[in-house]
Amino acid sequence: MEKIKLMSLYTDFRKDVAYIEKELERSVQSSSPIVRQASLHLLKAGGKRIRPIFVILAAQFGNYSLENASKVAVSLELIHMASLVHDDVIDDSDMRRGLETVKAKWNNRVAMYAGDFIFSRALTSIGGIEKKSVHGILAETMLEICKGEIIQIDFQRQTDQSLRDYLQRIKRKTALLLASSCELGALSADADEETVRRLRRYGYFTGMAFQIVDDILDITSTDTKLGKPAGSDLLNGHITLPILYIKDDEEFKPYMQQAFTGNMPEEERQQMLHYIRESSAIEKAQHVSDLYLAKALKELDGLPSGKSKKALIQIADFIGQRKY
Amino acid sequence: METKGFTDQIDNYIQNLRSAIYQPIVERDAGHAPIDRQKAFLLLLPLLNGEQWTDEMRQAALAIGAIHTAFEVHDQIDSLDASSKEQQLMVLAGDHFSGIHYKLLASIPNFHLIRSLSAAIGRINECKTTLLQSPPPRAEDRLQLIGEVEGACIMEFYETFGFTRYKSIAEVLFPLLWLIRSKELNLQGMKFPHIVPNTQDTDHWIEQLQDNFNDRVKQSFFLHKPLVDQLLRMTEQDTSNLR
Repeated sequence: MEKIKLMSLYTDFRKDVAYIEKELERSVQSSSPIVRQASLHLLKAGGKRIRPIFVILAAQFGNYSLENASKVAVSLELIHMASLVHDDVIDDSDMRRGLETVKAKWNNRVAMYAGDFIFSRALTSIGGIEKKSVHGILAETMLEICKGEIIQIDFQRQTDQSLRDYLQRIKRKTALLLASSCELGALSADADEETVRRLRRYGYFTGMAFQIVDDILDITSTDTKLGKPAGSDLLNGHITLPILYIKDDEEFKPYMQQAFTGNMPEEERQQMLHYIRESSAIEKAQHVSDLYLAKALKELDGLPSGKSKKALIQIADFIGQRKY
Repeated sequence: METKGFTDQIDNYIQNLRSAIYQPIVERDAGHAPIDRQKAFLLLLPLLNGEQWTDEMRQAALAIGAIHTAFEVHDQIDSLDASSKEQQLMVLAGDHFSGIHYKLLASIPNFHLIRSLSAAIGRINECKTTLLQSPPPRAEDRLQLIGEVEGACIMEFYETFGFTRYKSIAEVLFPLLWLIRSKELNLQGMKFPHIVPNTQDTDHWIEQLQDNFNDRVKQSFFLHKPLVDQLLRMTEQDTSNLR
């Protein structure tokens, strides 16, 4: 339902999105039946395709070429997909988007190889763009994402984290890839420097808001909608923004300690979720997300009006209000 | 044993590779990244044979070392339980090394090598999955897949930089060294981390590949004598322990 709502925001670009979807499917074709099944398994599970959409919309601000935009879009979505396959190994997750994960359906090793295969296809796609700056940006982004995840593991179950620590982490986890989606989309179309800069910042701020909303939904949404147990972040030892606001609450601390053991009885998990939902933590986190979205929209002020700008504004609004 | 000149060049390469892939948290909690010295030797074979070695080749060789290290680390992920902090970091370390490989290629930039290596990385992971989940029944087919897993990136390197004449040696040496190493690890009672083939006829295949390899080395007149000696020692020394 929510995905349909998101798609309705860029009806003018539907053909291009459909083309990229086909290219994504083509990219993960493999001579190994297991690798092909594992890659398609995740691809078919869907996802919002926010990265490809950002690439297409950002590329509209330059000399748009679907062929070039597609190479970038496919690459970024595949990098995102590869990281999800490996994340499920790290988090020992059996479900994603309501489907079995690759590691649950096969095993950890197959998930490692499938993730590495998908990553290789991402480079094959972007390799078709012969611009040094594009590759430099993407390589740096990938390394920063990885660094963020390594730091997240290092911070696992550590409660003495600051807001700054959290923001640094979500910057690397989500915002940088969305910033790069906008930046590389614009660069692939030879947009001017100021436009590229504004779009990158739009992607960055939107990405920060996107991750904060994701972290809120991990608590406020249902297991069914999430396709995994609500509160999974905390059960995996990750302190998110709502938790940062409540972690020093004396009544909440025992819940947190129990969640960190990774073995929380169902009744207690529900009580914990209820406690957080009823606190001011959600509202405070939502406020931070709103501030980022306002900054994102401000970046668009300096860009020429048109269908693409309108869609970017609507996507920012959607991110602030999304329910999944 | 390696001669002094070879040892110095390989040590220097490994030191540069370690510096390129360094990640402090991974190093602290998961230890030194495993760098395969034999693969480094084969990658540097043209350099050790006195071929002209440009900055671009040096950078590309580091990129290949980084991706090989990523493979090594990802091969060590437990199929059923990777929930320990060390295993979690190894997943990410492999991803980090992959990222370094791409960064190095992007900094040259060599777009052709980005494309050809990514195709090779794709094939390698297809082969590893096949060997892990549904290994072909024929030993020849398994060895072919192993040759691809072990050597595809180095073959691309040779191809890209005009060192194709080294391919005939490497394509036999990769499966041969893999078999020798696999057998050694089993003999020492160590857990061999991945894709152990049916070992019933391993000795037979080692002998056959060894003969083939010796012939190819002897016919490679472009190789300098110390390098020929080194290549022969690499396998003879190890196989003598097995027979």
